[in-house]
Amino acid sequence: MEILTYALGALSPVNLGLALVGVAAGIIIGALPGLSATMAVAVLVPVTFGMAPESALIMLGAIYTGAIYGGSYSAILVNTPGTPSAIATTFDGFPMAKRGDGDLAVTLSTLASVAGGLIGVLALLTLAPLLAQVALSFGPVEYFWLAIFGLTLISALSEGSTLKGFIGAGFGLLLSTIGVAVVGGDTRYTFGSQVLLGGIETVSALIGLYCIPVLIDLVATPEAHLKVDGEQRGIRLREGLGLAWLGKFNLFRSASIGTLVAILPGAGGSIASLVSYSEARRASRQPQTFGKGNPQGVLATEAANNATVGGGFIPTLVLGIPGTPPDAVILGALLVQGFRTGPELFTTNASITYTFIAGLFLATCLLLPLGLLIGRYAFKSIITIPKALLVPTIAFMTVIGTYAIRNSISDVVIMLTLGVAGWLLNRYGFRPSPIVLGLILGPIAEQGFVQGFLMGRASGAMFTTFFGGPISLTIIALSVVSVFYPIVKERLARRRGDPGSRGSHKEASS
Amino acid sequence: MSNAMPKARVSRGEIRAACSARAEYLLPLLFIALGSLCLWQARDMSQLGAVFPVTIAAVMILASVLRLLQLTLHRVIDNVERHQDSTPRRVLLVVAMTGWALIMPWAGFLLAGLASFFFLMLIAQHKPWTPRRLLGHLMTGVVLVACFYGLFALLLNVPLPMGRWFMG
Repeated sequence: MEILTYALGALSPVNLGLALVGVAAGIIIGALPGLSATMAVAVLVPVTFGMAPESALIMLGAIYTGAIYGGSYSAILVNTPGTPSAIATTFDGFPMAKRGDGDLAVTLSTLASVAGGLIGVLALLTLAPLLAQVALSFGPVEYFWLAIFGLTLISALSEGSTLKGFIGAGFGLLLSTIGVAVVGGDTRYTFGSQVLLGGIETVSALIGLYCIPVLIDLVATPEAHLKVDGEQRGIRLREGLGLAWLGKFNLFRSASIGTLVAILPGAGGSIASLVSYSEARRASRQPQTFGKGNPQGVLATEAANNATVGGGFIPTLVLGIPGTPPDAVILGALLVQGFRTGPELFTTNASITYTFIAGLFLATCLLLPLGLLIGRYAFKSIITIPKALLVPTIAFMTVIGTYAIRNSISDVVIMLTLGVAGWLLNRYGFRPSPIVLGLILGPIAEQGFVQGFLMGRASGAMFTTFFGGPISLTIIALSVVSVFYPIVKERLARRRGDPGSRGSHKEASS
Repeated sequence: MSNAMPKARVSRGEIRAACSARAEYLLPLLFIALGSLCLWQARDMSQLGAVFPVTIAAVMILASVLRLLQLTLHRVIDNVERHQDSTPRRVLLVVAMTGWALIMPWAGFLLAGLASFFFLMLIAQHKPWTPRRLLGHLMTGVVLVACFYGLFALLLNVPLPMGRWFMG
């Protein structure tokens, strides 16, 4: 009963207004490549210092929720994930938009984000202390294997040859080692350049590898960016609801995966959406349609990445360990407001905590009307804007977005270089997703690997350190399955003479 | 993407190249060279700093060698269906964006942004210009640049370059 009273506090007109503004601002910021959820939350933290603690947290949570969802717009309409967690949304979202179903893809992404977000918040409300214990059982070696699992998934899922996926992931991992080492402090692969000392900024690389190839190809042809057939409504709610109902198990499974992955600090939405995408494809009766614009692919990734919002707050609130970078900023805001994380947040400061959780719930519900409304205009703008305006506008966003991350022109030059390299590699069958994932997961993998290496050397049992733990073995087994399952399945199908079972992402022949 | 996935069926024992068959062999060789360079550079690093890049470089070289083996064991055919679009426009776009990034510290964000917006507009336009269309696009460009400038410089407090030419 007390929880309900606290939750009702979130429904005051002021909090409602702040949640509305926060969600709308988050959606717009998340949709702009280069402006991440972390940046949105970090920039607006000082604004919230003068507010009541619960109002401040509700606004920050709303911005975060909106930004994670907003990343899907650019992923679907421009093939550029607005946030790293929307990488897998490009797989089916952009092909849907290309064939004239961009409005349906945006509608599905909205429905999935709301469903995923609600499941994540529900888990935060009911299972927080229990799930937080799971996060504690993950040591450095387990994190290393988790990062490798993410990379094997992307390599196996990416278009073309699996080996090309692995080579791309290796390239991304090597790019992540440029600069000062996370463990040991060595200066690596800078070739004497001061500019490279800080390493390659992940979001700049994301913008370069996804956005610049799109621009390069946009100017090369006179055809419209997206195919538009007949009347475009902008919102296809009834059709979207029908597809979401058909994929209800997919939605629930993806949201659960998103929540579980998010409780592991640092793992983030990119792994969550990839795992859920992989599972959706594996469980589908038509896996060959994934990657070609299957609506279930969009549902899976978007449900998973919005579930990470609630899931990521579990270790943040219970253990004081931020699950994702925006959680770290919100944790800072909590500390500024005078609250300490831990069990007392659910006892002594229960009013603040439960009001905040209710605020997240409210923000997720507000995603539905706001998301559909803003999505409708985003879609209509993309299809009606002439190419001569679309190209410079996207280019402008990429340059200013990259510059704003570290106020550095060098980052813009690196972004452009990576973009051209990405376009060339893409032309030769090396997709950007494994490279970007390698870059994102590189520091996590390296930290886990080097710490595991030190532990193994100190204990004189290197093999047991890396291959001894039950969690490590489970993740290794999952990685092996993710690589070999599609190959074995394809071989079996070929033996049965069923050509339709060929994986859509597989190379023409192997 | 213009390099669309091949539509025609490929028989067993054949690999359709993403681009040309020769390039299919070239890229793994380039990655082997890159991996070797990383291994060579790692000689000067401490053991802790080198262990990860050395492992990754070795795995990347192994994957590239396996890819070459795979290509050797199959017949590689050119992808004749790939699109041949305007290369000059692509090159111009990259040159314009690089020039934009390099001139921004000198000319300032606003001037460099407006000039680049104009050039990119010309590069992306395939239809002939009419005075009305040109004026409309130019005005939209000015409004967009001003809006972005306002968002970043005023609302988000991002210190955008003012331009060394104008700072004395």
